Amino acid sequence: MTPKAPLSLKTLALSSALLAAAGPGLSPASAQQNGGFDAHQFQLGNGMQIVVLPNHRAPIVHHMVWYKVGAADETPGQSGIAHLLEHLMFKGTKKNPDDTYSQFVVRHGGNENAFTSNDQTAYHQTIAKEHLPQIMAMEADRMTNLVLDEAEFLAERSVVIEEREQRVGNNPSAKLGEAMTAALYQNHPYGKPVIGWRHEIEDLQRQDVLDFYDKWYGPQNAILLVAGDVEPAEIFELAKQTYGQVEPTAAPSERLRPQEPPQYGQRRVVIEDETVGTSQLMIRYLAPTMVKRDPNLFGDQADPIALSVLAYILGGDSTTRLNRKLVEEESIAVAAGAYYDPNGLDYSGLSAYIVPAPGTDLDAAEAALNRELDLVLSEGVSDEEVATAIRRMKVELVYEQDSLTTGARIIGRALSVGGNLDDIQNYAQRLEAVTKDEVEATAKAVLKKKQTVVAILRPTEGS
Amino acid sequence: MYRLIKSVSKSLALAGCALAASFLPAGASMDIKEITTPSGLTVWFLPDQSAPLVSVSFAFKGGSIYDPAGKEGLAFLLEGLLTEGAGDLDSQAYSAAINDIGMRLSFSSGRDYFTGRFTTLTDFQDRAAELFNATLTQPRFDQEAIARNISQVKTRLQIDAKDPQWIAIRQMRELLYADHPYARRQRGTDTSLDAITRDDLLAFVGDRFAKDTLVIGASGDISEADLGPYIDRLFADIADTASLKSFEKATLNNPGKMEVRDWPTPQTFIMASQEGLSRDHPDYLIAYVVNHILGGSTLSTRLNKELREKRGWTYGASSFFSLGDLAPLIQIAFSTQNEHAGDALALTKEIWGDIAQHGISEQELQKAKDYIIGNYALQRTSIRQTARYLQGLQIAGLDRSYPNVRSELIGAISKEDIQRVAKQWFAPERLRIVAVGQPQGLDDTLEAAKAAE
Repeated sequence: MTPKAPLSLKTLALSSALLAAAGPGLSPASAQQNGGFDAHQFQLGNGMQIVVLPNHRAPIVHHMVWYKVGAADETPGQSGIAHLLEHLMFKGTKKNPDDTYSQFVVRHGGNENAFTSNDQTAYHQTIAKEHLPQIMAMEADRMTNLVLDEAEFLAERSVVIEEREQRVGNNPSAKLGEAMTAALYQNHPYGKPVIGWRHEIEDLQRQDVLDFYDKWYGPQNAILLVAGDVEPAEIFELAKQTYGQVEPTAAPSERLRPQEPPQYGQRRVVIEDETVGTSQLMIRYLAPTMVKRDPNLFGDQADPIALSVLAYILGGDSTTRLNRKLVEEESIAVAAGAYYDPNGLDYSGLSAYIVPAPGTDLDAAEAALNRELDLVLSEGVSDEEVATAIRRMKVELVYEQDSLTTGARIIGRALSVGGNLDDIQNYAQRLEAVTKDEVEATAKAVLKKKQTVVAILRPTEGS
Repeated sequence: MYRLIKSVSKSLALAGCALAASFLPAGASMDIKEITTPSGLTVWFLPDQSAPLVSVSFAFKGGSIYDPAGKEGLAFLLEGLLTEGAGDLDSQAYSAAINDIGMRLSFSSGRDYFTGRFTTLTDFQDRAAELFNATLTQPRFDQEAIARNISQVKTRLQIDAKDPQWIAIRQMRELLYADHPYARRQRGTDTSLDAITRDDLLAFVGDRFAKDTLVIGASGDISEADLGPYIDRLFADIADTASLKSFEKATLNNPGKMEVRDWPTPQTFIMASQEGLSRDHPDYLIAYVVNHILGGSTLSTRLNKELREKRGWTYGASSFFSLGDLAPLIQIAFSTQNEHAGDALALTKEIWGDIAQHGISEQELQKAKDYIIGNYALQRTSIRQTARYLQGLQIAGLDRSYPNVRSELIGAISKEDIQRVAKQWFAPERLRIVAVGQPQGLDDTLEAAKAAE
């Protein structure tokens, strides 16, 4: 039931994700309270985009390369290939064989990792600034020169199967999340898990992965983000000497995925399992994103920023509707909330969840949750709710300045699905301008039962 | 799910991390200020103007081991209940006030310490100080909020009971500590939670929030001159001295013992524990380096090279220090498909004893030192991290000069030191093992473990 968080190369923290059902979505693409990030944009001759975010707090840099490819770009039957490739990108090139690159990072006290989502794949390092030229040279090298040994391939494929079992196989809540996503998308590849189905991962071959790499990896399909103790001009020069030397490949410029047909009815997914600790229920609505608002599903009135405000009004903090009414006033639930992630190339989801209080059955909990969602449609929202949500969302933006990596992540995530820097820089102003009417019109456009899945987790009787 | 979520991240209290190794870029020096406030509190401070925020991390002695007998879960319950209203503000009004100014306040109960993290925008720092102080000195503990939070913690317990990692942690505690307070249920039981009254909550606040055990780290966009009075406002009117009983150190039981808990998952979660070094032990840093080489935080550790990279048996295996004041541990944890469990554990034990037997090369040692020294600065890239770091240094009993001498201390460690400490401390035969899943191939190991008893 987790929001579709990107997978990453390294191990999961040992914390349990069982209740991540309640986790907030990724924060919306957003910007500093006072006028956005200090972001400088360039482009190389081979088409690679560059964004530099100077931050002189410490002599450190955060370096990321984002590829505009993710799990939703996989060929049917080959689920998991984008993520498996992400793992294999650490296996070396002719010039930097085996783990030369990783050893360089470790040797200089740096951190590295990578992640894959439906729409993007990114590789990143944090390291003392003086090592940046070598990092850029080695990252540019592995953009097109990956060497893949069969034995290493097989071992890493096993690692990914272990990763899948650790994330999903051991975790009924994650299984429900997979089943729910598969039901939400009737045609679009977002229905597949990013990590892939186990039987398809087991069948992936070395050559399949290399073909995928050749098809999608290249400078014209990549974005460089550098945040930290650097100047824009210096990065542009370094990028020309490194990434600028990589020949463009024939990476597809358009990502045309099968789109969703009209949806005719609510779907229900129930997992009943002896390893479930407590009942929980979630309703997920298909939703538009910052870059796409499919008119066939949402008409022409759905606005992603107004929808972020609506999600806040429902579940932004403990005073907002679902927690205040269902948890505090009526004691129907021990937890209730909502979240929405406005990112995504094609679609996203607005989710509302409830964990029933002892003595409340799931049917009553579902009815109460539906009552609150219906109330938004029948009664609308108040001016005060809208103003409060905007005020609190805006004040939270200040925290984005207190990070070396957040700005780069927000910008990388947006640009890799075709968003632009202006949208991010103007986020605070757009947020402030959201009106009650827009929130209500967006609610009507998105809160359609026929475009939902209800997902239920419950313990086996008597377990 | 505000309360529930808060507690998720703590499910590995047993696996509490070692104080993050910290370090500076070569040549840089860190000038930690020690400020004595007008009322006499001590604060460690690093100014940082890179965002308009002030962040304060603090710790009181008074974690879950101090919960009264039969009222286990009191400290854990307080984590949530403290932000359910203060002074004139009930839970809704309090939450509105905090969220309107973007103030962040969270509490966390360890076994030894009760800690908190507070951050405010500089624009709203006065209002935030009022709210913070009221939180500590005038908590409401309304009956409705108490009942609701107990209900939430009980739900949390139901989830823990079905979580393989949490099952392993609980079983490991019983194996290690028997009747020492470290074996207690930090989050309580349904019965112990029901026994908690409003008076218990008030007694907690009165007994444990006291100046004599308070440790404070601060960072952000505030001047040294303003910080002292500001800290005094935050902590005004708390008790001068805590009322706490003292505990004996724990002796760890059952060396070499293994327990398997049958659980219907495709993987087995394996956890192993042995005696560790306290932070003030003279060999602590040497052991830290040994652990880094064996199972520290990178993918190039020996455990990850052998189990993950070469054999594909796990998504990741790691080892780490758990620095409980009464029983420091070194622990190992990983998940592996049931069919590999026996092989993976046997290999883990072999790796665990390998440095003691064969030592390490100069090159491997140098590589480890370079990482540990170089990575230090990366762990403080925000105002909030820095405040927490400064609090952590004090809990660890380190001197303010430590960040500036750390590289030198690590640099001086020799191959011989490494082998000596590995021999003395890293003992595969002493590992207590808990395996949760349906492991295959553990029988031989189990027999050997029984023979060793």
